[in-house]
Amino acid sequence: MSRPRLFTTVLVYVLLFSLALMFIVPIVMMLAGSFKADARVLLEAGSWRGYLPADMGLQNYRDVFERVPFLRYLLNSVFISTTIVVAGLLVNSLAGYALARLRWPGRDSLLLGVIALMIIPLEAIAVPLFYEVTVLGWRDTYLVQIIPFIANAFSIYLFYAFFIDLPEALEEAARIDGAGPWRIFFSIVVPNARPVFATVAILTFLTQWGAFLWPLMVTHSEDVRPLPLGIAAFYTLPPLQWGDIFAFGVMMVIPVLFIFVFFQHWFVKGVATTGIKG
Amino acid sequence: MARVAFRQVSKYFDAAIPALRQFSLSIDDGEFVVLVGPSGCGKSTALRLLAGLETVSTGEILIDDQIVNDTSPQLRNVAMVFQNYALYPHMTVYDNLVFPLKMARIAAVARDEQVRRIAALLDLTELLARRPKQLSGGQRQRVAMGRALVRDPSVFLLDEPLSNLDAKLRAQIRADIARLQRELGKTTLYVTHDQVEAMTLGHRVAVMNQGELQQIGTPAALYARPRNTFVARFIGSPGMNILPLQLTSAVDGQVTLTLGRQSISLSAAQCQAGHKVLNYNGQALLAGLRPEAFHPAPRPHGVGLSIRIVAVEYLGHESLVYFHLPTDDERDQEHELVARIPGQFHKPTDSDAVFFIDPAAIYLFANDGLVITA
Repeated sequence: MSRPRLFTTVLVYVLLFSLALMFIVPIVMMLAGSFKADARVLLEAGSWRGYLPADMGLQNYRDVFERVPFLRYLLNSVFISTTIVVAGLLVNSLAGYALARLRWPGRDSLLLGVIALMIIPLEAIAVPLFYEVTVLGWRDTYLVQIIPFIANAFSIYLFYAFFIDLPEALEEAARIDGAGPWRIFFSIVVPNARPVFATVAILTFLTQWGAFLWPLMVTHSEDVRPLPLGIAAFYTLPPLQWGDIFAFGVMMVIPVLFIFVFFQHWFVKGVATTGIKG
Repeated sequence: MARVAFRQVSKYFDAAIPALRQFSLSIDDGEFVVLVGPSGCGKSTALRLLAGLETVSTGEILIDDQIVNDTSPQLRNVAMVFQNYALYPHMTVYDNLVFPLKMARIAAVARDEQVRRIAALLDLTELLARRPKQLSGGQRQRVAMGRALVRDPSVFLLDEPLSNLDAKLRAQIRADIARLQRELGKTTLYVTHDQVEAMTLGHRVAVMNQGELQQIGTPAALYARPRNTFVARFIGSPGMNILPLQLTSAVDGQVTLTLGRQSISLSAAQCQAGHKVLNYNGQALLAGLRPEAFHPAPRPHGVGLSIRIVAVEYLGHESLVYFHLPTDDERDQEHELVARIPGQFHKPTDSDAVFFIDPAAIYLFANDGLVITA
């Protein structure tokens, strides 16, 4: 390797390493802090000791279970997120498929509408939506946290972009072979669209796992509240114990990490195919 | 077994340009018909209309005298081989073959038997457990044919099934397709842009261009009696040479054909166009000459034409000689002609030579491209 090439390579790695560090530092701090006495967390926050585990006790984890109904929150989060993911995959994939393959009047305008909807954030419609679910009497239920998030413009668009690129000859062959539309979708299209299903599943799960604003607005009982509201409870329950908060955070991240590692192969493939070709 | 008929079928994807215009064609039971033409000529559209993958704009399609315009593909009992094979990538060869039988709700034992029978016929038995991506191009092609044949369709459709294969394999599978069709006796419609496939496979060949049927006939008829300049150019390898010609006729039934600077005299009776040719006295027409019509040595009835050689391609058993006829008109220099000469042709490029033709081998076309026949 010539000297200038070596220099560039080193520079690139230094840059990459710094960037990686930026993202990993808070996680390390959380992990280290979760094992420390609360007083120590704040004391060491400004120094390098903040990133080293000490004490190694599980007291903070025990505290979490004692101070809030962690298992209840976890169960709620798992139930809400998984239901949205499963129902969302079905609804959004069918919608994307219809947009990509079926011909009907108004399809192009609808597709445009779906694309336009992607730029509207939840915060913009939170208040009218709040009134709507109040009228329906859905407040403080699972339903209110699930139904509004099943159909999702971004997911529909991801599916649409993937299906548009899928060779139509496969479906035509299945039609001639005697398969009806539902059979074609479930037996031919879905098995060949695993990457996009994994992508949408992970993106949806991550979004719903971290949902905070909407559950805060529409729920008040611990029976239906998800994890992010549980962690928030620590800020309102004095004394403010950072060690407990970090321990809660670690336990909240683990399921996400597990799912991501599990689906990572498909996820990367999905982002690559839908990203480039779509 | 089935008869197929297109009656005045048109298909418009776009209101202005028809993909298929007033297309009529009858295919007999067990007949092998090839649709051939350049890309965009409407041949694949015709096939897809018959398969039920597209709907006709006007006209009727009949299978066994039943109008099937509104019949869904699965009820037409047609099977199709796609250009890129369209094998289901997530299924094994066995599952690909059994899929149409499952859809037809055939009992498990019967369908297993049927799959194994077809696999044996197409030499696929060893490959049943593999997935499509583990197969070579030729093997994929055979699986695609197997999937089409497995449920014993009444009409067998093939859409450019050989275009993704290399030349050697193409010749081999071409022979396989011909043999299978002969043995199974299925009514077959085959689409290709390759006139060699068309000539070698079809009982009859339909030549298409710009959405219209140009001519249908046996390969021999298309070669010997092309209806217009398009068919003449398309059929044959290389196709027919077409060049401008001036015709003058004398009172005694003699005609003079002027090609560039050179004239050939013959009696009207000798002409392909017969006495009808006398109606075209003094007109500019088009002459058609097969590359096979030129001979380097004198022969009976042969008339010599002076030529200038442009290029020679030696192919082993024959040579393709590209040449011009000397002319006073600069524009005619554009008319490069080609001759097929058996064996090796020894004259160098840019030299002058004489080719002999039988005047009776000259086809005459009117200016609208239609052939003038007796």
